[in-house]
Amino acid sequence: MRLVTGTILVLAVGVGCGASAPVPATQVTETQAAIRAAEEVGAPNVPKAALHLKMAKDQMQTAEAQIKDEDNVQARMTLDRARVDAELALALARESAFRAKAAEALEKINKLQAEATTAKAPAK
Amino acid sequence: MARMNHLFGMLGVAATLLIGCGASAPTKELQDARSAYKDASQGKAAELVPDKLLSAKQALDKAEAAHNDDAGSTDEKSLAYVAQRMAELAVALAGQAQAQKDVTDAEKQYEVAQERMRRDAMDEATRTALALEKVRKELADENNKVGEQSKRLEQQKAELEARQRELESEKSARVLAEKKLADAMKSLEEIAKVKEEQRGLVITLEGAVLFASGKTSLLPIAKDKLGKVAVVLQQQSDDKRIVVEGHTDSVGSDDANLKLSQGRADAVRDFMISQGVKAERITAVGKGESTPIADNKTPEGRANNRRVEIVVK
Repeated sequence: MRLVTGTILVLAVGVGCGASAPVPATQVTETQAAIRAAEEVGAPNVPKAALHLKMAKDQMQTAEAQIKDEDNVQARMTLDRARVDAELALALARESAFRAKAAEALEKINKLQAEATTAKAPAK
Repeated sequence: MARMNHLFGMLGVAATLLIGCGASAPTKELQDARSAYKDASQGKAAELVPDKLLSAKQALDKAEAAHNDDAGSTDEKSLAYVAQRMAELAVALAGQAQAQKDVTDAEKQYEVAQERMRRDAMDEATRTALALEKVRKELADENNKVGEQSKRLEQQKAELEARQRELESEKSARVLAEKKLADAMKSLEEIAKVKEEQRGLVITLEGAVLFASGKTSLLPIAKDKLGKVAVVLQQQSDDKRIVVEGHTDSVGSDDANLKLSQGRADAVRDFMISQGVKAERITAVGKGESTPIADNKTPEGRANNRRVEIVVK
């Protein structure tokens, strides 16, 4: 993926003219990083996060095609959307993980309190 | 029908014209973005992730600006898309922050509950230990009491036994003394007349067994007999007075008989004192022939009159 993107960038720079805006190289890198981060956090396993991750990847592809077509203005906007989807996917995945942790901790407490109650009223 | 459509069409155009340029209906994307921001601002994002909520607002403003510039443009749609996601992002981040808080709170609660359990267990253990100590002390006290009672009982027993032994020895001594007295009396009666008279206990000894005729010194065998009398006298209580009376028959002068009887009484007295009778208890008096107990005309009578009387008053 990276190799392909790199090649596109070189080609784009090489061509130079015709593009009314510079190639959004940084944006591409940042958006790809955001997508990877979302994947690493486990977004594919959280339904809502997986949805936004897919949207991010789809739009990433669209952006690459737009860059190839030298439509950098549109590419920027597409990359903006892709990135925000990736960030949302990441946040949703993280939120899910922390919610699970909180539920675990609450369960732990409930268990302990149940133990304490039975300890105070020993069986005769 | 066609006329109705035409009418609606004209109304639609009129409406659009009335609303004016730039203030035309927002795209679905913008509406979604506005709605998403509304939800975000009403939730916990404002409290927990205010900076993210601000970013979402700023993104929405950008989309609104694009809408005002060129309603329905792809710019508006794209920016609205981004704005919606940023609002949802704020909500997700707030959710995460809240969950983290919940975890921290729960962990704190857990510690508190554990500490309480630990404290309760310790209190329980302490209570049990104190109760045990109390019981042990009570047992020890009981033991001490019992021990002391035992000792006291032992003491009492020893005292009783000592008292018993005392009483027994007193009894033995008394029995011994009584036997001695009885023996003495018995043997006394073998050698003297013993009679209880108004003036007291009168022990009468024949003169012939005590003295040689006309003498005032005691015959050797007299000392044996008088020794027995002394024993009896010593048995009598100290507050009794003893009078030794010497008596003669009527043969010879009154004076001579008086003198003889006094001398004999003295001799007996002296002997008694030598036997341990206290001097201040015993006196000697010579009665001469003044108190005969028999007829002086006969030899037996005269023999009877020649006597020593020891009176215990």
